[in-house]
Amino acid sequence: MTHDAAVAAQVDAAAALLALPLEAERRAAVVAAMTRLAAFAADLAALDLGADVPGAGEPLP
Amino acid sequence: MTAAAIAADVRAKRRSARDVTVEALARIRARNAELNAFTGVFERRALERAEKIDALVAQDRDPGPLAGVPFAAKNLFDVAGFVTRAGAKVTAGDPPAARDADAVAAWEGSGAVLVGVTNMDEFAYGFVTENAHDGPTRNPHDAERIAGGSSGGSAAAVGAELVPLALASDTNGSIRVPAALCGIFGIRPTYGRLSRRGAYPFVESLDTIGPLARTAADLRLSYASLDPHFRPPAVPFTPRCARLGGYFDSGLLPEARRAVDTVCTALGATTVIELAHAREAREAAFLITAAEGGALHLDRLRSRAGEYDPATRDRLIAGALTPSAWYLRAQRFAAVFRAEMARTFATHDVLIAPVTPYPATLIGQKTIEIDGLSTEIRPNLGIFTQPITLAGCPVVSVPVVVRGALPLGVQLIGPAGSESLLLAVAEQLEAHGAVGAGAVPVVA
Repeated sequence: MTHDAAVAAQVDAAAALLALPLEAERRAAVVAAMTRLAAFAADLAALDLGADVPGAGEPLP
Repeated sequence: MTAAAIAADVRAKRRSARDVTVEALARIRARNAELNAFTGVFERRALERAEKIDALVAQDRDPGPLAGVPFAAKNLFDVAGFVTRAGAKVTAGDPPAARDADAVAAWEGSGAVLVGVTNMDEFAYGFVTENAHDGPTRNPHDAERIAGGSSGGSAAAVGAELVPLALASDTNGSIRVPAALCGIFGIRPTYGRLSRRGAYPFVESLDTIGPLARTAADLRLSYASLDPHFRPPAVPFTPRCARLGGYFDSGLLPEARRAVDTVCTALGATTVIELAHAREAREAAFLITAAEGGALHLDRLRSRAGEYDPATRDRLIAGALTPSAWYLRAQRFAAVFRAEMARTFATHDVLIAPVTPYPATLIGQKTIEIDGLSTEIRPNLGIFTQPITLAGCPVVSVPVVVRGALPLGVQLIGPAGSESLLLAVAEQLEAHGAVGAGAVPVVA
């Protein structure tokens, strides 16, 4: 499956699961918005964030 | 007339709050058809409130530091007895607010007078205030251009001198962007610093509220009335200032870079530093915004999506469908980025960056050419504000207004809790003539 097809499949599957109707003329714009989010998510996934959670050992302010 | 001058006159019985309010209402009547800044004007409520202020003054009681100052509120703030529309049509049938938002109550408790509510991007999801239901708000400096968003109505109302102060909200730049494009001052406080009670939510992890003003002194005065913990800086000192380079010095027009030059020169900021993950910070803010905003609207999107502004709706739907792993990764990165910013502030007090990459664009314009590349306007107006949003830092947006050119803004960014320092730096810059609202041309 291509990346574009995977994004479109995510939109369709999640919309069905959440009972969110997605009319045909709206679907293309939603897929375009999801494609942008997917690109951003890929950039964040590529970062090495380390094992520690910042602030995990500190008391609450 | 500034808020400080109005309050001084009202407290000294030189002018009545009623007269000040009547004049503000007259200005709104005269200019709003052209600017489309206000979506609702509360004449009766305002006059009753003003008369109460005058009654206090007549009894030699002090109404507060904002005595008789007329102000506007973005129409996502609750006003008792009125429906909080948040720029939407789908909310029009909601019940009226039972009480005023905390911020409205705080300003009125300091003597100010709410005169109306202002136009915005639907549910605060945008940077242009080209609202499909209420129409576009027009820039006071050029009526063919956008006022910025999402607090565009509030910024235009202050920029056009209809009112000296306005309440606004900033999730990804919605105070800073319209403040810059309309040539006024604005502050996004530290995340969590001011009460958001009674402000229609958008992105719980990022939402803040704050004031817009035409002068730095008015910004401080009005901010102090919202923040019970506010204290002026105890000891004058010279802040360690640095310019943000790299990400914050690319993809912008030369005039936006020159605005930053002006502020850096005035502050003697010769050091340039880079934030290693600014691009990813913007991307994480984008993801968190979509996911939280989409989840908030999921129920209504199921049955009433057709009533949403198309510019908002499709992004909210995509956000509602976002895999949780993306959202959680963005939140985890946010924690790392906040730690990086805290380390940066160990050696600097104020970071300086542009607010927007370009001045106000034409209403309806979709793209702009930068460095020979066509760039989408709507998402990129916030390209320099969104990374700072993620860090939760306070930011003052200061206006750089050059005669014959459109206004631009510069961000003064400080560590958490540094509002008083940033406001003092803004006042210093204004006193030296480096920044300021300047005269607003009368648009035809």
